Amino acid sequence: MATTYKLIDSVTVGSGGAANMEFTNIPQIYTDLVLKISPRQTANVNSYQFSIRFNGNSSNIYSRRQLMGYGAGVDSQTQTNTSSIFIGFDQSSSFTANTFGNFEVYIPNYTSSNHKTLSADSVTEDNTASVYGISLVAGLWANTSAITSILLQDISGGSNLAQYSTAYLYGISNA
Amino acid sequence: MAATYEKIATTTSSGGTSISFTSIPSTYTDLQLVFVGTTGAGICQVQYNGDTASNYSSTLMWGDGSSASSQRYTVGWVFVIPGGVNDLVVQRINIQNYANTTTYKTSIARADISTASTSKSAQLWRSTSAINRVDLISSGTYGSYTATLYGIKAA
Repeated sequence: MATTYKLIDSVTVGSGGAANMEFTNIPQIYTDLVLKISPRQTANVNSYQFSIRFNGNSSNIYSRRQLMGYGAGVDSQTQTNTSSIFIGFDQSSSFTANTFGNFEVYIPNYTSSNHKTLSADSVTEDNTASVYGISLVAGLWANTSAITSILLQDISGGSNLAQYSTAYLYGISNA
Repeated sequence: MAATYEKIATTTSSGGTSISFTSIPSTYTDLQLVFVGTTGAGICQVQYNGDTASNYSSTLMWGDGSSASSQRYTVGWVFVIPGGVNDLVVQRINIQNYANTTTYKTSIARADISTASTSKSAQLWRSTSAINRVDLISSGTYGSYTATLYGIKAA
């Protein structure tokens, strides 16, 4: 039986950080995509929002539903008409050193001519009483184009991603 | 490297209220069921080996974009489908250690409708039987969908 879960590409941020992590020329031969991401940002900000954008499209046609827990409670939020999907929280420079976020993003039917959806799970934990959280996101890119590139970045005031941030892109085939 | 994630079966269809995977081989460690499609309002639940007895329980948490909630049920619910929604549902159900014959079976499910809700849930089937059949049953009618069952090997 053919292998159905295959690494397409990976990115590791080098010394000095990087504005983003990007996958381009994504092959159109799989059924679904899976991203495994471990990000951290270089800035000291409180919003630390990690986001995903497809095909370089910055139009305001993204939306999401989010469920999150932050230790003291739970919350659910909606965002619509945004230029990317906020998929969870990443660590800022004020977090405990050497701690990174942990994300998994599932993108079904990425080559279809339907609008594209995603499921994102993420956690942020740094062994302090100040910053922690778990998040589930249902996201939508209201575009019928096949996904050929994925841009991952922190959208908290243009913060860079820190060295050793990683992202792995896998293809899953049900053929 | 040996394949550790393999497709067992795929079904693409439209309509009906149940999706069945039968004669599941016991050669994997875990199972993952991926459903992408539409379905009418109602409740989606998982059922194993055709067992319709009261041997299931589940705990769900979900958010609809404005409020968060969690509830426990005495059936194997994996997803509550809100009404008035006609967008794609994305569900992934991970069924751990499905072939063992000594422990009850647990699963973790993730379900999303990007314009309505996001949720995660845990299910228990109180049976020591190896799972050889999985049914995904909806109280609403399925629209067009693709459901794929994958096997995951630890060896």
